[in-house]
Amino acid sequence: MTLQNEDEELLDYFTTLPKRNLDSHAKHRILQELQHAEQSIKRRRRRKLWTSGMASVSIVAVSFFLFVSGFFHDLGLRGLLSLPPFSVNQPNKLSSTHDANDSSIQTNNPISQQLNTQIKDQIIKIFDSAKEGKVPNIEYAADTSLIDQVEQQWGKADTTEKAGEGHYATFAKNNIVFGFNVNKGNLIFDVRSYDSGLMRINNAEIVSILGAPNDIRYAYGQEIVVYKVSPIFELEWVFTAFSKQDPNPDLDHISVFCQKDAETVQNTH
Amino acid sequence: MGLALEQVTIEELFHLYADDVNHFLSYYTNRYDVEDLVQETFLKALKGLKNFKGNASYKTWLITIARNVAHDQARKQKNKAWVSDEYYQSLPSSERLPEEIVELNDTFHQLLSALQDVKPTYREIILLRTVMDFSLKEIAEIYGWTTNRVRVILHRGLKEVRKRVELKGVWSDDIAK
Repeated sequence: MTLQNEDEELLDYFTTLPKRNLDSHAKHRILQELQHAEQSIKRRRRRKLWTSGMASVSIVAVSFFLFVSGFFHDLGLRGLLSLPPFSVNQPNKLSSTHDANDSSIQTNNPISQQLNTQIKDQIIKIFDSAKEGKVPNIEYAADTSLIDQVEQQWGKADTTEKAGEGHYATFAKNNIVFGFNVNKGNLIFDVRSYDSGLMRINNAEIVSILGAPNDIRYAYGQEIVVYKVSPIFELEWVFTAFSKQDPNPDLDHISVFCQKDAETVQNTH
Repeated sequence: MGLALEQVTIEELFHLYADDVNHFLSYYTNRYDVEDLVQETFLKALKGLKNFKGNASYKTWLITIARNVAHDQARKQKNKAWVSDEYYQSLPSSERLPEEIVELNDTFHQLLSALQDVKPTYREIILLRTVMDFSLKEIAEIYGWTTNRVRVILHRGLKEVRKRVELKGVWSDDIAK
C-alpha cells in the first residue's frame, strides 16, 4: 500500500464522521443575540450619522452666512466656493448603505439567492413528503406506521404524554414528536418535526410557493397555517402567534396530520 | 460585486452556515456544546461584514473566524487543555449523548482520540479537508499558503494520526485494511 492510499483511506474515515448540527433552541438564542447586536450597531451608526449630519449642516450654514456678508469677497477667497462643500446629502448617502444591510430588504445577491433556493426546495420537499404522511428524512408515516415500530428502531420515547384522547411521544434527539391512537393499535396520526432548519422559513415564503392556505387556525398562542395535501393528510405550519411586536414570528414546527386516524382525538398544538 | 457583498445579512449567513460552523467547532474543540463559540463567531462576522472584501467565499471566511474564536478561547483557558479524551472517558455514561456513546464504541473514537493528540494545525487541516469538505485551494486561502504546502501538511497530519493510533495499539483492521 502506498502512503498516498493510506492517506486517502484515513481521509475517507474522517469524512464519515457524523454531522453535528446546532439544535433549534440554540439557533433561536443565537439569532436573538445577533439581532440585538445588529440593532445596537444600527443605533450607533444612526447617532454617528446624525452627529456628522448636524456638523455638515452647521458648516454649510456658516459658509452661507460668510458668503452673504461678503467675507470671502473681502479676503479674495471666493475661489474657495467652487470647492465642493460638505454636503447635507452625505448622511442620506450613508443611510442608503446602512439600509442595504437591513434584513427586511429583499436583495438579489448570491447568498440571498442561495438561501432562497434552499428554502424553496425545503418547502417543496416538506409539501411532497406530507402527501405521503411524512416529514422530510423520517421514514415513519401517519396512517401507516405504529409507534411500536418507531420505538423498536429508535428506542423508548423520551416522554409520552396524553393530550386529549391521543398520546404524543417525543423523540428529542430526532426532533420528532408522534401522535398516536391507542384505540387503533397505536397507529400514528400526527408526525411533527421540530428540526432546527425549519426556523428560517417564514409565512410569506410558504404562501408565495404553495399559494393561499386552505385554513388558518389559532390555538394555544400559535397560528397554524393549514394545507390539505391529500384526501387524508393535512400539512400544518405552526408559528408562534403573529403580533404587532412580532409581525414575522418563527416557525415552531410542522405537523402532518391525519384526521381519520385521530378520530375523536383532539388536535392540540 | 461590492454592492452585492454589502447586501448580505448576518441572518442569511447564519441560516446558511450555522450548522457548518457548529460542525467544525465541535470536532475541532472536541466538545459537543459549542453554542458559545458559534455565537461569538457570528457576532464577530456581524462586526466585520461591512469590511468583507469577497476575496474568499463566505463559508471560508466564517470558518476562518471560527478558528480564531476557538484559538482565543483556548488562550483564555490556557491552563486547561481542550476537554481531553480522558475527561470524556471519566464522564458517567448518562452525561453523554446517545450518539457520543455510539462514537465512543466504534472506530471513530480511536481516530478522534488520535486527532486530539496531534498539533492543532494538523487537526485543523484534516478537519477542514474532511468534515468541512474544503478543497485544498480553499484551505490554502484560509492560511495564505500554497495548495502544495496544504497537501504536505495534510499528509504529515495524517501520518501523525496514524502513528498515534498505532502507538495506542488500536489500529483496527477496519482502518488498516
